[in-house]
Amino acid sequence: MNDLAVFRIGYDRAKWLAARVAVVSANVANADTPGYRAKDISPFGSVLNDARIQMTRSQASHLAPDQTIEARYGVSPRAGAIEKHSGNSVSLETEMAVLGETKSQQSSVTAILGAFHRMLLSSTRG
Amino acid sequence: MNIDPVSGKLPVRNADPAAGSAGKVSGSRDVGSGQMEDFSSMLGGAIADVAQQLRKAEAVSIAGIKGTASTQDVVEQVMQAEQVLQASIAVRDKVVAAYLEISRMQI
Amino acid sequence: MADDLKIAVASSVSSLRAQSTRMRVLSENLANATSTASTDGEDPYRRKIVSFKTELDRATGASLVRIQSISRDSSPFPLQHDPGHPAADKNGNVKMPNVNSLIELADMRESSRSYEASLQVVKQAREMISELVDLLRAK
Repeated sequence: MNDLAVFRIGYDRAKWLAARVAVVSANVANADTPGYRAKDISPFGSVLNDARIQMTRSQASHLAPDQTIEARYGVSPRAGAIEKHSGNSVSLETEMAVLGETKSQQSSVTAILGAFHRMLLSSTRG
Repeated sequence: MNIDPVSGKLPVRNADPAAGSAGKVSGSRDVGSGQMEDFSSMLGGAIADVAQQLRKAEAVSIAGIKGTASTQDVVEQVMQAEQVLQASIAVRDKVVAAYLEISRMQI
Repeated sequence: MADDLKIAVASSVSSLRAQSTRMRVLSENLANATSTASTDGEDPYRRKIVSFKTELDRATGASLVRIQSISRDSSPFPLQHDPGHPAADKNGNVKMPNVNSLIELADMRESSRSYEASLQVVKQAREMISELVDLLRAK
């Protein structure tokens, strides 16, 4: 029984989701900062086979300056963000919607990881 | 399970993937209706069924994590995997217990 | 992964602080919208302006929002004709605070919305951390 694949991709996904929350949080925090543009991280599919993902797997718990979310996943302006006259392009509704979706995706991933983890435990129990 | 007293064989269980209850293993192994198979091949078949279901569950979970499979599919396959695994563990435990009991018997 | 969630919490907590300060200043402006001087020659209340800046926390990588400055609005005081007023000038005009209550209220609403949104982020990020930790508890 080799379940390592589902765990590895599960962790990759969970890390990506956490990074996305951090970016959403930065957007919300800067919703009233003049000139700030709403950002998002690269889609999961595009980072899946990225060399940078390999780095996140063996990452130490502290962040070196070049291990920012930008360095690990790539950050770009949020598509469809409309710039207000202040130069700020954050829409709180959009950010809250992304946050909600991210949270529910994480629930699914942790549920899957939990299920396979339990199956592994129960099958190796004496 | 009715073991035939003469040949020591078991009747073939027909595959019923919709059953889902403990004790029934899904998957099909068409030996032909009415024929008997022996305990070891039933066990071997059951183990193969579990492995197949686990692989299936793993594949659909990976697809689910990537976003290409629906939540319903993932839930269905993972639950089925948990069920067949649980059933096979129960069988394994009983086999081990029976073996220990037999080995303790005075012949 | 929990590190990024902690970064998310840090960003939003900085936002809660910044928006709180902003709301305090806006309230002050509103409260003093009609605070004139007591004699001619003195100035009435001058509007305060809060400006934000983004700061990157080098240690954690968190994007924090900070108050860059609380400065005074240098726009001119509007005049109101009120000859009986103690601060009326020789033309009978009184200098009023350069506060437009409608603008302050609009800013207050915006600040309040941002505050609530940041609160939501803190709550949900903390729940996500909790969910991950619960994996260890799953039996």
